[in-house]
Amino acid sequence: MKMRHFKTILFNLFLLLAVAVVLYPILLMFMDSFKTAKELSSNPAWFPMKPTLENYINLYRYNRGQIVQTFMNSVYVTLVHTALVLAISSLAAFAFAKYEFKGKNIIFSALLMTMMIPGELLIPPLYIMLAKIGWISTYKIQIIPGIAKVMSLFLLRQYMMSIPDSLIEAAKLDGAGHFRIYSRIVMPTSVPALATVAILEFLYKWNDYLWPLLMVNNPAKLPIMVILPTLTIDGNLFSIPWELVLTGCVVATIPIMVMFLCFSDKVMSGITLGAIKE
Amino acid sequence: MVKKIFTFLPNREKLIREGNDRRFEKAVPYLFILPFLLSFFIFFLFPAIYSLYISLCKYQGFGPMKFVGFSNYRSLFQFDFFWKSLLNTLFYFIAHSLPVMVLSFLLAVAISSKIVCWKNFYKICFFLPVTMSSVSATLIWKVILSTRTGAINSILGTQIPFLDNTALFRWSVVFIIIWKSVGYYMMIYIAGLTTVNHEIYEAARVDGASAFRTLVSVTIPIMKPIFLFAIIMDTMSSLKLFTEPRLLSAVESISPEANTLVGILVDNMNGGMFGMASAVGWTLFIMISAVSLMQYRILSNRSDEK
Repeated sequence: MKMRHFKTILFNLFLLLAVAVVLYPILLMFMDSFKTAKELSSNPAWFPMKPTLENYINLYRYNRGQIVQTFMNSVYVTLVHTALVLAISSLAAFAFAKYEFKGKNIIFSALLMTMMIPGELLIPPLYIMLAKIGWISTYKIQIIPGIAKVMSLFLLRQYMMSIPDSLIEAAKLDGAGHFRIYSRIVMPTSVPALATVAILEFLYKWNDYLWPLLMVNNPAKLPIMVILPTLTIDGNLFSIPWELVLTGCVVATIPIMVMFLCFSDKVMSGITLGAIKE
Repeated sequence: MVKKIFTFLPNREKLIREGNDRRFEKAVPYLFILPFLLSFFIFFLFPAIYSLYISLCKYQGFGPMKFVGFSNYRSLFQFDFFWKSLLNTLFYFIAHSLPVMVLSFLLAVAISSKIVCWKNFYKICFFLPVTMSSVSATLIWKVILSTRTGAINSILGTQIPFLDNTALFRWSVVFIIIWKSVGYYMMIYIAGLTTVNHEIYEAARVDGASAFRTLVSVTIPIMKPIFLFAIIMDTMSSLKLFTEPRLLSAVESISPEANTLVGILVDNMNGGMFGMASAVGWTLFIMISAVSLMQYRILSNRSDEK
């Protein structure tokens, strides 16, 4: 029994140490955002001695409100994109889960197989295609490509398959049409899966860097992730205002962190769903 | 969208009211999947095929597209930086994958064991870096690892050039990827461990197997499919590495010594070389497929022998 006690303490100590290592950079990001440039270089590793909100004010004013603008761009693009993903993948997931039709299995497994193809492969052709119809540097190009996400379809179909057929049969007997069954029965029942997909898609889109980096040149339409590494003071490219950059990182991370801490179970279980259901 | 499509069908009201029109009933599931398939075709399938054609062409973003055969691939393979980036990509992948897999599995076993309390607290803490964007994560680490004013050097009282020395720089990138992805695979392993039947552990305990022995001879073999899944997921994401090495190197100047394949793709896109960029994309796809297939072969063969 004594041996076991010792083991418990050792295990927890080891885990706490690992937690400290993992969380230190994130905590430091928050602490550094309250330091002046001078303090950041003299006291880089610890709590701010004279905490100040100066960085947040400077960030708010940066380039006549550019950070606020890009933050709102990110919010808009991410929300609309997520809503569209939910709409079209839930429709398709409903059909794949609850209908029998010719080619169903072939189409579904073909879709799953395309998950091996890296999205980076699509960048040059999509750029050429979308430049032809004038989509470069618009919100559309940030929102619409990528709404047909196979992973979301897969997760939603898995969940919808567990909805009892009797529920749908009963609605049919009551005279509900196909779309009515989808909107009044399947969607409300699938709320847990829809929430998981929505959160994962939100995380993905909010954090996306490569796509907007290449597809958006107009600074007014950029998301916050692309602007963060380019912050300067008075256009001086050689001295980077790190206290400002880190404050920007805090601002860009807070929505994600709040969402994760509120729905941590959903995020963590959603991410592992694919692995276990194989 | 579906409503719109419905209204285009003739006599919609009549068809639904009668409810026995076979043709409409048969079309319904196709109408439901149509928006998905349409956008999938336009934004995924067609561009994927189109990019194969582009990779065989010379196109600068304007003027005509000229078919040049394999010359993009040929000049890519003669390009020194391409090989350097390919080797870098492989290095990042090989150097990080074993530590990530081992660490995340050990953490998963530790957190799943009965003697650890606050399981949820640990899960959330280790998962937090996964939810962060690569951009913020890299920028924070860039400040922490800086040579003269970085947190680590100031704690140690040293001036280790984590980001200024090429070899150290590469290891810093590896370290950041490990930090950022351990939580993800840990969650996958925890989920896998909960599916293992507890009776098997009981049986092993009755047979007098030690905890370590149970882990090696019972848990790990049962978890093989989960390992395979985790390793392939990790391969697919880490061969596409771009943001971390790009942002960790000097912000405005590209550090070719640390570049990756996707980095070369981006550079070609910025230079308006769409053919070359597509050729890099296809090289990446072939590499990912080859590596995943190899891993699948090795891991599933071993389980056949048992």
